[in-house]
Amino acid sequence: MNFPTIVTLALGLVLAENLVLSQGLGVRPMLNAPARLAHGVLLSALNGVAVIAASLVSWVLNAFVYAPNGLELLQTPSVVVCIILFELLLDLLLTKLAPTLRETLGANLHLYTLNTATLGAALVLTGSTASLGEAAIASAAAAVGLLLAALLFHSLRSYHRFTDHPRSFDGLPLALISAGLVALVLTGFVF
Amino acid sequence: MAKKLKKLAPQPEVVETVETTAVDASVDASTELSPEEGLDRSRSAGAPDGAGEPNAADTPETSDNAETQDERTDSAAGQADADASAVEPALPSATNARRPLPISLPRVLLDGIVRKNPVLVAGLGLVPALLLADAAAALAVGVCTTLALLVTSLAASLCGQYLPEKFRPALFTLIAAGAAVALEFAIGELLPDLMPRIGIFVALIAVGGLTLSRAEYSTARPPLDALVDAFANGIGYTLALTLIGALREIVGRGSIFGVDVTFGVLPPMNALTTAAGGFILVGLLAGAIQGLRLSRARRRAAKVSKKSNDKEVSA
Repeated sequence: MNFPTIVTLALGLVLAENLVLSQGLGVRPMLNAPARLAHGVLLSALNGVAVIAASLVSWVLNAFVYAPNGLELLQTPSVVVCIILFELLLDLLLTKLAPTLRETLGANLHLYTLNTATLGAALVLTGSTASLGEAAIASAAAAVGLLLAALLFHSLRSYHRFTDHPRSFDGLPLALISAGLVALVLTGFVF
Repeated sequence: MAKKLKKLAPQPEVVETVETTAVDASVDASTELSPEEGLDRSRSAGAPDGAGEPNAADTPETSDNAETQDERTDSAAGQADADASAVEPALPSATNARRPLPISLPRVLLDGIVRKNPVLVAGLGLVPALLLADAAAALAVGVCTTLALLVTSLAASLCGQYLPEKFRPALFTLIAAGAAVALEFAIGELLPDLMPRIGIFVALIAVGGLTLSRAEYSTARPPLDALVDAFANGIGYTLALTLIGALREIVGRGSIFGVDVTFGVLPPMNALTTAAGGFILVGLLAGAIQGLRLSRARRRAAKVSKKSNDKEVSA
């Protein structure tokens, strides 16, 4: 795989095929993101790590175990188990190393590790990538795309505090509509 | 941040007697949007997720209970089942000898379909709503989600309280993943044409917010409560998905269930079939529902204030 292909693949997954804004995966964590930007970015980064881990495990299992034996159906539960183990490991590490941070994150840790973005990315990328390296690059790009979406959602939310919108659009409807407009902008990158 | 969440969702803290997890609180934080909504929820007996029924059975409520009396006489068979389940020591409430009415079926159905619609009010399980511009596929995903919800809620109701609290979400997700695999297999055998279109959405049921929030709600509730709630939410989800899918198919492709309906008069608006169009359409529908709720709450408040004014005048 040459350099231009890698760049196209990565940029495509960050902008044109952004996990959240173009593929509609993992919207709930974005909508429920904490008010502090640092927490939001940290949780999205964790989500990104989960996406990478899930994609790689899913790719390896699919290539060497499931596809040769016709067991593709088992991909979903295996990714779920993998992410649960990742979450337990993370929980253990954070409880040992940064107990205050763990307490602050609370149940959000689960929301940000085991969500539709993680499983969706693992399933989609396993189907669309040809090699393990390609899957690694694609999942890393997808993780960066998650961070970008988290930043966009945060800035939109902080902007909404000052807008004069109808009360019936307060909250979820406004968040969705503005996310839709951003997604419409990102479709400009489809080439 | 936990403090922040509590600030955002003060209502459950006041109403709840049953302990809820922080996941519920975070879900509520997204759904508790306005003071009116909070009022509305506290007024209804089955208040927010995870609150509710034990309270409703213990504390007499005037108009609501009158309404539930009628429902009780309507569903005799349901009541028999309900009594059978009420004997089970599943509720954490102290006075769970024999609850006269564990659930009110029409209210739970109304909650699931309109008042707390999973997609349009709570914003849960958005992936198929944002991506499927195809009424038939949306209907199929909705039915699959309902089946998965029934299985997960029943399992959560039966064994949820015996699981350690920390691992509950993970274990519920595993149960849902099992249900999703079974559904994928069934669709692959029964409707192989539909499989490529909806396969990934059926897999995503496992980690969707809807299954988890309903499983959390069903924990330590009698199985019948859990099943009715899962059914109501499943129906609400299916209806919302099918409505969104049909609208997007009609406007975006000019057909419904694959049948051409515009006869070439209207050009198809392809933007609505993309995720961006899905975001905007779901947002508009959610805004419409929220607007209806707000105007209804305002009318009710006006009626109450008018009544109190009349009383003062007559006194």
